[in-house]
Amino acid sequence: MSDVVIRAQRLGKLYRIGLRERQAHQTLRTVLSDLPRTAWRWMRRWSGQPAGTRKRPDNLLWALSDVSFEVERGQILGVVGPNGSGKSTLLKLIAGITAPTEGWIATRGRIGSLLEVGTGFHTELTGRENVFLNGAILGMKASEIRQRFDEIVEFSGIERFIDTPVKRYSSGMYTRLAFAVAAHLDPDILLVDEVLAVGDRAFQRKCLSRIENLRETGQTIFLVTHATATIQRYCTRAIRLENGRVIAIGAPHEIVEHYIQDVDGVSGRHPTPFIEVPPPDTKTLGQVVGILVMDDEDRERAVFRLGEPIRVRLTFELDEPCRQTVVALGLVTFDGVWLTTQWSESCDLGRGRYQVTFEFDAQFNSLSLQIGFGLSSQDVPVHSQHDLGKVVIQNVFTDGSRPRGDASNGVVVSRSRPGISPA
Amino acid sequence: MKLETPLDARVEQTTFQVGDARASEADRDALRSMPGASINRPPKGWPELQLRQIWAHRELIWFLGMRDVLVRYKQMFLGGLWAVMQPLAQMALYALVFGYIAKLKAENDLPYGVFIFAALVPWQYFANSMTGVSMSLVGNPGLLQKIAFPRLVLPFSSLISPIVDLTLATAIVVVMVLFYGPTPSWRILLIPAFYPLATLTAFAIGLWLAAINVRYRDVQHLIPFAMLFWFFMTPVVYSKQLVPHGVLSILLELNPMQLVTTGVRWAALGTDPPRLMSFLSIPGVLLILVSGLYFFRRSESSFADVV
Repeated sequence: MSDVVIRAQRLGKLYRIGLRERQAHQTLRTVLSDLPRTAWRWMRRWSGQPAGTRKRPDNLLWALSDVSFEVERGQILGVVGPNGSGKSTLLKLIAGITAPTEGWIATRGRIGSLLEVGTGFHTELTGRENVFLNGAILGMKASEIRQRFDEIVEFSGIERFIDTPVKRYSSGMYTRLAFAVAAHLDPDILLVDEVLAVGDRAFQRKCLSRIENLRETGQTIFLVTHATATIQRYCTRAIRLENGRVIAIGAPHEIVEHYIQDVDGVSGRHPTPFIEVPPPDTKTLGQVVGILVMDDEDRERAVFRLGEPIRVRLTFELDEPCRQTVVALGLVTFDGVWLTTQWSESCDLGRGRYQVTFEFDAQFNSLSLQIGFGLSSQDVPVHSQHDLGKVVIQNVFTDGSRPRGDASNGVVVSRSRPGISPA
Repeated sequence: MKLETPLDARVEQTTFQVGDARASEADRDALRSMPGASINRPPKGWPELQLRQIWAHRELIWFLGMRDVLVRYKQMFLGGLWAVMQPLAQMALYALVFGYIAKLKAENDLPYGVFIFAALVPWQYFANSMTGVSMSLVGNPGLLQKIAFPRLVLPFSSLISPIVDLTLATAIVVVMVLFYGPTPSWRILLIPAFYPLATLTAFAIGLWLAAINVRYRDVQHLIPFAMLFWFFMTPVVYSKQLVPHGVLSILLELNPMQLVTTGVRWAALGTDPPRLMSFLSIPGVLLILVSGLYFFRRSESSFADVV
């Protein structure tokens, strides 16, 4: 028997978005003036007609519709999707905070929902009092909280301030304490909504390693985050939502890659940004007129397989002469990390149009890369832009084989495989 | 450590029954592989009250109640003194207006201030409780939107903090009786016996108002008015004996708060005991309570969406 802990069937959630009439908070006046209509609706409902058939469709929003999936014990499920795609609504339905309009969702075991850090924290109370309050709100028993109190405080790292009212805390301390309580909740299913983005780096790392620990103990985790790198690193599966519908469920790196590609568009055509001299004497020095991404036979392409050579031809115009100019091509991940930069030779350039072709191999794991442009000369210190174009690299070698092992980890992929010999 | 029953108690703890029109064959098969699962599905019909879940959440009720108490008394220079000062000041004012100016007579020629105060204390408790209960949902939107728990926890927890004030004020009543009242008898021990009816009335009506308040904020403006009317329709600043016999006096007997104030006065000051007829109000309160519970449970599925 499969160990399914969450199962959703045709789940739908309808929200009424408040246009002028029928706001979320109605006032008695509107109710009274609507009374005849309301009475009529109730009569229809009692006479067996489905409610809501007459509702104006432009007031209604299906935050989720026809969502079906199942999750097995121990999975860490990442949820990606743009704002308003229904991610948070999904978590609320799993948690049971709100009821669906259609379909059903079944869950097995204790659910811990971390949809917001520090829900129920009261600023007048001390850290200690808030730990107990927040723990109880999150569903812990008082005995559990007492038992783990020291652990919680140690995790938060604010031992010295535990008896200070939290209104005197810095926002970082506040969130650390709140997360510490939540991290010591011991649910079978943990729902986390974009709360890892709090705290400093060290604390974030602590939280993520905590999530890894939870996975080892067989807990199921639902993670909603815009940090796609986190999903690729920690999740065992990913769901992509778009306009309230599930578009794809599958391996995290594939879901994330497709998501990024669709969001950013894979077009090979590019705007023509200006090269500007930075202030104080802001002026336009010239512009990039074209970026052409090609394979080694100069055919235009945007998608490459692992290890394939990629040529990028940059065409730019200069309105002013630039002495000792070098032009650079940068490869930037969509998280903003510069992977590598290649510089051209340095030379004096007059006005006019120039082009330069860079060549490199796609030794990167399944990734979308932005192409960056840099220019530096005696007259312009350094100028760079890193959203000029895009290259997509797929996690398949040119011979059709996939990288072996846990290939989804790491940015750079090496083909060479050292042999193992007796030492 | 792991609980057997899920904590998200708003979700029904049932599996689809055979013959349940809402479950297709495929649904039942899907669920058979998940024994003991809790199901979140569209609400339909009248809900069960599931009061056992409230009991299971008693710790949460206690912590939320203690939060109110702590927050109330923190950062207040005079602290618990306020619980006493407020009714004392009101007593002074009412005694001035009704006792000194209007020359109303207290029963048994008691000092008018003491006569008022004994009734003012349970009234204040009732007013605080009812306002607290009716504001308990709209005052905690974060909890409603982000946490799953039986929604009844909130109105229950808001009953806790008024009890602290009540306890302090009752102590003052006892002190006053010792100084100004008649020789106290064993009946003084019966003062608290009338408090639960005030609690029950406040909770029953507060439940209705709390659930309506989520959707219609007019309730907030309505409450102070309603309380003012109710206050003067309850023998607090005057003696019940002054009310002429007729429709009004009968209505007064059916007011549960009349039973409370008359009862407390009888216990503390030895005035006339409540009439038997006024106990008829108790079934009425229970009716409002039970219907309020159902109404609350029925409307709670949309609390998170509209609060």
